[in-house]
Amino acid sequence: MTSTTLIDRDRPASTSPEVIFRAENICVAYEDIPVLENITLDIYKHQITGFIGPSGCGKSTLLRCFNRLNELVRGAKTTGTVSLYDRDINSFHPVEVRRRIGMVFQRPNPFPKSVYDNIAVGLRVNGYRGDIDERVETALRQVGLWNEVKQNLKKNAWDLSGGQQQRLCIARAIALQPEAILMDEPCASLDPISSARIDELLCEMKQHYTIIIVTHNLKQAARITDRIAFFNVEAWESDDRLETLSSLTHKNVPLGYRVGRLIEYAPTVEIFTRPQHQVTLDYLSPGTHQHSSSHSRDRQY
Amino acid sequence: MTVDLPSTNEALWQPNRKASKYVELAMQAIFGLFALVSVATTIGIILTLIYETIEFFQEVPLWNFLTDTRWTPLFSSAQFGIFVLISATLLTSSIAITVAVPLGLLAAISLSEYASPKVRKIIKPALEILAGVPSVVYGYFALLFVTPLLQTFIPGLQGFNALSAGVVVGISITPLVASLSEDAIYAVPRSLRDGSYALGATKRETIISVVLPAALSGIVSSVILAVSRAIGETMTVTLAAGQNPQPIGPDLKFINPFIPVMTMTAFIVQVSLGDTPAGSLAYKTIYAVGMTLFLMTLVLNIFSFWFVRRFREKYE
Repeated sequence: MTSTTLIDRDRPASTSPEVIFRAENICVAYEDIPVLENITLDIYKHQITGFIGPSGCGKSTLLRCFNRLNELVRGAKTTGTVSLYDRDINSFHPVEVRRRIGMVFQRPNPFPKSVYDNIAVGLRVNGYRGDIDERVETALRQVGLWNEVKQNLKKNAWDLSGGQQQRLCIARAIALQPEAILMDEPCASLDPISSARIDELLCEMKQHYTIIIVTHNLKQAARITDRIAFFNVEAWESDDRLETLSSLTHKNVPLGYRVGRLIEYAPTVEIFTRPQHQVTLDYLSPGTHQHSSSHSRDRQY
Repeated sequence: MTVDLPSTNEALWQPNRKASKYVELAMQAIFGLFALVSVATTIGIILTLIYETIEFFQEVPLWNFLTDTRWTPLFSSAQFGIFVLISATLLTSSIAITVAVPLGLLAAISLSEYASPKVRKIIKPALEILAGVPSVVYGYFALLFVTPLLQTFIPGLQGFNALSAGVVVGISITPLVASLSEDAIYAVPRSLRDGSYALGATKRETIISVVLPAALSGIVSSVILAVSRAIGETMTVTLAAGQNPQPIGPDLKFINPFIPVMTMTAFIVQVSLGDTPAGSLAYKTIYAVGMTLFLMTLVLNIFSFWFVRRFREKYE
């Protein structure tokens, strides 16, 4: 299976939407230990793309390649290119990339400041010349938080509920008017009601933003995404793959070592109804294929 | 997948409940005893202080203690203006803090944010060793090195002065500020930094607008702790700042950092070293001064405690 055939199969024939991101041959290693191998995929504009797969398969790692957040992790090494509208993101200033591509994390991480300042700080560091008050209000309205907090914008963001905090974090990202928003399991630490609100919000946001979302919640993935990339951790069986990784690591990576790979990338409907691979099917309907050995949830060394 | 079955074999499980009960009680008693010793010591010190202080104020009215402009307890025309000593203590302490806060804070930021883990692992213990240098060494360092050095820049500087004592006390409490602030800054979770970077902030912007505000309560409490250490600092100021109580007056000699002053701790040392008979007024004076010192540091510690409780950031 090569990545080229993947894209050919998946690319919509005539009315193909514009490609915003193109990831080519992405490999990532942490401290000489490879975690992702040869990922190639296109992300389409104004769609929600879901990354799914078992823990440790490198979904979040790949997500962090899109805004160059990985390079801040000590010991992380990335090869391959990610382009934003055909321009290699490594040619941008990293700060510029992160202004244009927002990110929302797994656990709500508002700053220990007021609700207002949580949004204003991003505008200030990016030298926003317009009316900050107006941007704060717009962003809060978009995430449906305005009516809940307008009375007290000076309130410390840490006193909000978890769901409100996460919406504040989304507002903080939206306020910078990014072209895409990366979301790393944004609902993982939220209750079902807050989570449903955020799903709703994401579907509305789709008109204006490109969203990539990592999720373990298959229902969420089915409900809100347009396309899904399924990743899995797999052992590599033959030496030929070591070639790609030799540039990444100094250590000898043994055969049978497990690394994250892109298994399948297709429109959501196709993934759920006609998955091309047995592992995808196993993952999407766990319990019905108990004897499948490829269904590993933990990375093993 | 096989599941372990519930065990019904009683013979396999025979804990010695009786012995463990006595051991539990004995341990509780031993720990309680040691906890009691430290608490009792503190209470004993406070009671002695209070008792002798009351004795003192039966001979010297509180009003005089607070309003006299001179500190001459050993003269025949004795005056007990405590603010003479307090002003000297505050003078050396504020010089110390002026030195220690910028130095300590910048060191903390560079250690936790910029240094590689390797460097941090070496520098941080080294910094903490600096805190272990005996204060008498700092005193001689101030008297024999810093004062002559400063005299080359400041011609009017006397051999004993508040300035070099303050500077050296500042150096001696820098590790405290640096180490505690560094802990606070280092404890700011990665998720907050990631959040800031993801908004397009640079490293400097992240540190200034996210990390430092998040670590503020820890930083402030380290500074307050350092202030109370500077106020209680004894050896350095006794050796380097001199033994001359400067009367409070319009000539502002009492806040002149270039001349010898006498801090509260220096006075206590002076009287304790002499052959002051127990029960005399001079003897009681040191308790009154000690009490004042204790109250000042107590207020600072309570304030720091309150501040941390009030502003502590709970990183779940």
